Amino acid sequence: MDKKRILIVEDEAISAIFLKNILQNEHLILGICSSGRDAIDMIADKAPDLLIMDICLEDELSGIDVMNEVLKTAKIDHIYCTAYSDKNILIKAEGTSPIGIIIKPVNIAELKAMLKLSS
Amino acid sequence: MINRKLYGTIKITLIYFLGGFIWILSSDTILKILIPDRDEYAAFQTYKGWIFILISSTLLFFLLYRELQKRDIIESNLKKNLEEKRILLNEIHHRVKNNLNSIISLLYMENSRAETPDSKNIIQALSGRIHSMALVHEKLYQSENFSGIRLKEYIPELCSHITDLYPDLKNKIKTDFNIDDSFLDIIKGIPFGILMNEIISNSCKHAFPGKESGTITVNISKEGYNLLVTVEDDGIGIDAEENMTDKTQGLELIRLLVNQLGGTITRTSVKGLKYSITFPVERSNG
Repeated sequence: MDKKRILIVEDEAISAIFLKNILQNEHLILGICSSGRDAIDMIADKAPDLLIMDICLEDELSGIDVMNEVLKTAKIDHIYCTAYSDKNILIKAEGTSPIGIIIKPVNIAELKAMLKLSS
Repeated sequence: MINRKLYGTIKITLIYFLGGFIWILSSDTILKILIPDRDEYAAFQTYKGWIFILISSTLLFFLLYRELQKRDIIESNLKKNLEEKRILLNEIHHRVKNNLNSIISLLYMENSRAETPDSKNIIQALSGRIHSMALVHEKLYQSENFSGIRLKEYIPELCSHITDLYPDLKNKIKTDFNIDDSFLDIIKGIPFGILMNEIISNSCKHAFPGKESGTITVNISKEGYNLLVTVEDDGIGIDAEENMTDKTQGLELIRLLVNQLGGTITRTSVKGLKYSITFPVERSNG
């Protein structure tokens, strides 16, 4: 499998470090950011291959807002990762055509299968 | 302290009584002075009666209307309160589940650093037990009124998570469920979840060494006040002299959990191993 350059956008420390832990052996983790604003800056700066994106973030921007903003300039693979399985949020999330949406707790096998799907 | 309901009723009745009393007394006196003629007096008495009914009906209307309006306000406040409680409970179960899952994530990370098979086993057993609790909270906040978890949903999910932990067994072990519509509240749900986790994990760990395939069967049904549970595997079984009084920690935990549920447990090994558990549940739970 190709080694990907991944950015993790996640405001919960343990979730973030857990994601880093399960992915870092096979991929390059560019960093972890916890707010929407940081995420937008970091994506522009580092141009990752793939984003692991939490939907509820610590500032007023949601993960979906961040994606809508980022997708204006470039197409980028992303996987949403959220604790809330609220239908309306999921429908909104589908709008940015993610590779997949993972409902927490993260199922490691599911996440790895999704990563293989990204080009 | 005066009962508010009684006080309100007495107040209204007294107002009516005094009003009526004063009206009759004063109007009769005035009428007698104003109308000395007997026939005319009788006619005026009738009109006076009509006026009395008119006034008292109007009064009754406003009093009732005011009372019901008060009740409406109280009712809508109660509804709002109840909804707030519902949201709060939902949030709490959600957080408890998330916290437990954070612990599982932390354990997972330790596991990848653990060096001996023993320490890996301990971490795996721990995370299995914690997961069985997290799943109860997850099922609770997904339920309508937080009153309980439906075993028909909980047990298969628990089982599938346990077999996930044993990748080399995953494709060999089949699970079979016969579970009725029973519910368990959180008080019984947590110990029951851990109990089932222990028994099913034990089967996965010990029942099928060198076997190509195996089945774990879980039957749950409610009879009267009791929940009857059997967990059965068709594995290698155990030696006859081993029994439930063994002092191994896993078995001791199983016995204590059954105690906590107020039930009994027996273990038989004819073909494979079979646990039968009976414990009381509330009648309203079924």
